[in-house]
Amino acid sequence: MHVPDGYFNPINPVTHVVNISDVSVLALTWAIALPFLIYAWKKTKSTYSQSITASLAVMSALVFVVQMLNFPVAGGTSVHILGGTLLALVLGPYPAMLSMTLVLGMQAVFFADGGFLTFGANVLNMAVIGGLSFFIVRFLSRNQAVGKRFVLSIFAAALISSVLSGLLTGVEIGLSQTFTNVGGLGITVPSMLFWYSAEGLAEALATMLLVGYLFRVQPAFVVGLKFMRRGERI
Amino acid sequence: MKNQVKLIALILLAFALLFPLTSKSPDAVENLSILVGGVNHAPTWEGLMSGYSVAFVSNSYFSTLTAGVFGTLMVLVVALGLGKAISPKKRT
Repeated sequence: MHVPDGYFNPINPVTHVVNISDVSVLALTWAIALPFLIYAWKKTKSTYSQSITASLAVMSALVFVVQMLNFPVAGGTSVHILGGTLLALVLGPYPAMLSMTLVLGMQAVFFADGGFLTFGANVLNMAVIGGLSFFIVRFLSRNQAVGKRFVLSIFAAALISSVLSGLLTGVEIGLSQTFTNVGGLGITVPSMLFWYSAEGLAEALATMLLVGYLFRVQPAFVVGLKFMRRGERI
Repeated sequence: MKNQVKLIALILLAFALLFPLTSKSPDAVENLSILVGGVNHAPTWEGLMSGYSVAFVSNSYFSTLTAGVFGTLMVLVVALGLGKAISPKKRT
């Protein structure tokens, strides 16, 4: 899911001319992701009255590990769980964005998993979409963190966010000059949608089970669910 | 704090056990490049442990395990810093 720098060439290596489509995609993804991160930082600082350091550290480590475990889907392709909805429910939507951004940053710096120019795209695809999926849960469950409806809302939110992440990634890569020349969106979007619909089902199931388990055995750890009531300070 | 340490140990143990079972097929984004006949651009940054492997460990399982444990601990340390930065200051 991590978009590497090699897929985008701001300067065409042959003609040395600025590649408008690649620059536009990179700039746009940064321009969307950055305000979300600034807002997430401010909102976390103003909303949380208790420390979430321990939860944030453990959940970030968990998501890092989970993203290293690839499982096969059709067509000789592998995918990994993204963990965005899980973070959003356990930490709350805004710390979830920061936590996922941190994980993506470490992956890019130490393991070259995802690029620096494409960091904005990766943050948008995984951190922002993942964090916002919290509001899908809140909307579908009618702000009630109990019962079957809530459990199904978690499933739906994780599935929707995975498919959206796949779709966005497909659109971004499909618009790059490299891919435009060989089929572009017509290839990248259906492929990513297909693979991330399959991944989404696994993600939905895992998120539902893990949040349910944590909520049962360590309810104090699942601070994000307190966000279910609007305007409440945590 | 004890619970958190236990959780981290559990996460790392689960990783060590599950990692050998993970798929070696290319990732979805990599596979897009294969689908269109290969996108061959040199990466701008190779990373310190490119491909989640450590150069000085020859066994591929232990190489990735070392990279995974290192990455997890690094994420943990930076996340603790981030957590402290965004958490409310204690009033004296």
